[in-house]
Amino acid sequence: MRRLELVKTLDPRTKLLLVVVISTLSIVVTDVLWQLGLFLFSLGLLHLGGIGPVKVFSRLRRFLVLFAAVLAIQSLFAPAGDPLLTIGSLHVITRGGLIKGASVILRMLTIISSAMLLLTSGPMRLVLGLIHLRIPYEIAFMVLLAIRFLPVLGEEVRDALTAIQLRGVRIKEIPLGQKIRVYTYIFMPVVVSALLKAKKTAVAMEARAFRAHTQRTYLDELTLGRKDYAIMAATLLTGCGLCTIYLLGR
Amino acid sequence: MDFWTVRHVGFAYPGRQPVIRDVSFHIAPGETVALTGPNGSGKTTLGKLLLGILKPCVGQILVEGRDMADCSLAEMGSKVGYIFQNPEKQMFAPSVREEIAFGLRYRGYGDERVQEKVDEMLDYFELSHRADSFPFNLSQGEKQRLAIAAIMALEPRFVIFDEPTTGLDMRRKDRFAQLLERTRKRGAGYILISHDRDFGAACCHRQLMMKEGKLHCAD
Amino acid sequence: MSEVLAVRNLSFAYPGAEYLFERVNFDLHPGEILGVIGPSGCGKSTLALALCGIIPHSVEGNMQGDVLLLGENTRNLTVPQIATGAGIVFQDPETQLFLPQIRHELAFGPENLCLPRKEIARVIDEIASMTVMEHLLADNPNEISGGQRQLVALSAVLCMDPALLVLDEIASQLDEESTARILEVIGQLRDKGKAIVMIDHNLARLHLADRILVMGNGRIHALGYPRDILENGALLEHCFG
Repeated sequence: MRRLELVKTLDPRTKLLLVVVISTLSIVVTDVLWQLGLFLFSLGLLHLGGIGPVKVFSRLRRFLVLFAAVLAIQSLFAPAGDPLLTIGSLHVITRGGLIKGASVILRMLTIISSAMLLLTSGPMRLVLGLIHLRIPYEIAFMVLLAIRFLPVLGEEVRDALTAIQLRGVRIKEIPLGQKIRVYTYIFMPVVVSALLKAKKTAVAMEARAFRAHTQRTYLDELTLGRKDYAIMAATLLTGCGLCTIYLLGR
Repeated sequence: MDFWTVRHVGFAYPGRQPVIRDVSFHIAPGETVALTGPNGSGKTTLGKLLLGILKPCVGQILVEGRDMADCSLAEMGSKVGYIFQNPEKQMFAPSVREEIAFGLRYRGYGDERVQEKVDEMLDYFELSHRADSFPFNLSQGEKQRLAIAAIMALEPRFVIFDEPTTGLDMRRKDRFAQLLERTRKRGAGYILISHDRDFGAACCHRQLMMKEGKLHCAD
Repeated sequence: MSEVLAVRNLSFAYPGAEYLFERVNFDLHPGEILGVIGPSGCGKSTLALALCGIIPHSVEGNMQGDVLLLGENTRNLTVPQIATGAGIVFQDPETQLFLPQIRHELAFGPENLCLPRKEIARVIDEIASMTVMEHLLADNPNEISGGQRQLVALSAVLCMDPALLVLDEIASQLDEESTARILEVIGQLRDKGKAIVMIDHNLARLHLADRILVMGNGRIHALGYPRDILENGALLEHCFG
């Protein structure tokens, strides 16, 4: 439990630095083993922050097709080393291509999963973090609303699909062509209603004096503790250190 | 045979306290039932369970003797109409006319019959002047009427209304009571989810009282 | 005492439509409650939007006449500026709640008014105990019932302590107990000197009102004392059928 608290109570700015350093490293290093290490490290951090590997992978699932495509393209267009699968005279999968593909995928995985670290903060703390980084509060709140309204769009689609089924449409059983017709039918109303909602919310915010002054105050406080400074320093040192070791070792 | 048989049903949203605890009751075909109780007592959740929009965490719901776990939403939707508390939740068509026509057309009615039925509904629900408007631009009251019109056009055998009298003035409330009577005469049943106990008592055979996720008096 | 709100010859029409209401006139003083009643779709909610500047600033249409809030014409102020003096609780609570926790929701207004941190915490405690929703403060506004959302929306506006409160059908989804509590709160606010406009289609909930504005079919039918309006059977018959 205490470990969980540690990552959760970290200042979002500290997490932002962690994310930047990890992503930079993952771009600098090209060795697969190093990249695997980085990915495992960010998984470990997420685990400490209360997002276990199972959750991470379920969120990464939606990128699966993309990963498969990257793997195939790397193998096909940048073949190297022993062929593992050959069709006719074409080396479809080669050892070298596979390794290169894996390294690109690991890089993406590392960047996405380290960015997830920001989610362990709670959206309001993230806003505070952004404001402390001198980002205007209007923009910080826009980020918050984007986080809030993306799921709303998904919800709108789900609601519309539920409503359609409740009018007797067997959405799971109808042929693909009809299914596509149903989706295009609801597309416009769903988008428009989400936009209308966003506009109403913008008005509601102004009606509660949002942007009445150039400054505003905050109920919650964000202070960089000793822990934050220690972790920031350690992150920077380790980051630079790893970079040097890696580049010298090549 | 009962229309609904609810056996020891419990429900909780993921990671939260249960909202429905060990609820059991029966509803006969054509019965009219008021489901009342204070805010946050689980009325809406129970309504959604009866339609299969939510699935019970424990217990079992049978509809006409069949386990609802085996019924698709579409199957339930063709038997039971559900009017959401927030009418926007059930609108998806580009115009008022289309919203009402959608279900009819899917049932395979011919264009002429669809047209006829839509006009009848527009007229009955006083929406004719809005026929070509975008549903999300209607006033709150008009949205509510449209939601009811789109479902009633399909003449479901049971209708669940979630807080239907919200925002209705006296004249509209009377009109709504007339609609309920018409539904009853057609032989269909309905469930009124409402905190307005007087209205519920006036329009229904019996009352189910919810409190803190439990059923308090079954009759 | 000078008036909080002065409405002068106010008319409004949405683009391409007829006037929803024409030449509305009234004043509202501190400690006064104006009830607004009329059939659905008669323009009650639109009037509410005009009273707190959302019309003409954020809604398209043709507005004639003026609304003076604390002596200033709303045409010359921005919506956020107006919001420091007039708070509105919308009929549909869904879109007016947008933050991850209810306590953030209550803090949002006072934060915009630049209240110090400790003061915000105190105001939240005070209002939450007034509307009896302390137990909800850590919840997500998306995960509570419709009636509870109305309570949150009202509390969020009360935290800003505006001179004028515009309440649009705030009891429509509330049970008897919550309604009684809200009416009690409204009574307390009046005693504290707030000017309140209360829109409701249910006359029974407007018994607190000092005066009642009856709307319907594109015009104002009457502005009078509750007793006169209630006894005017012909008027009620005419408006509500």
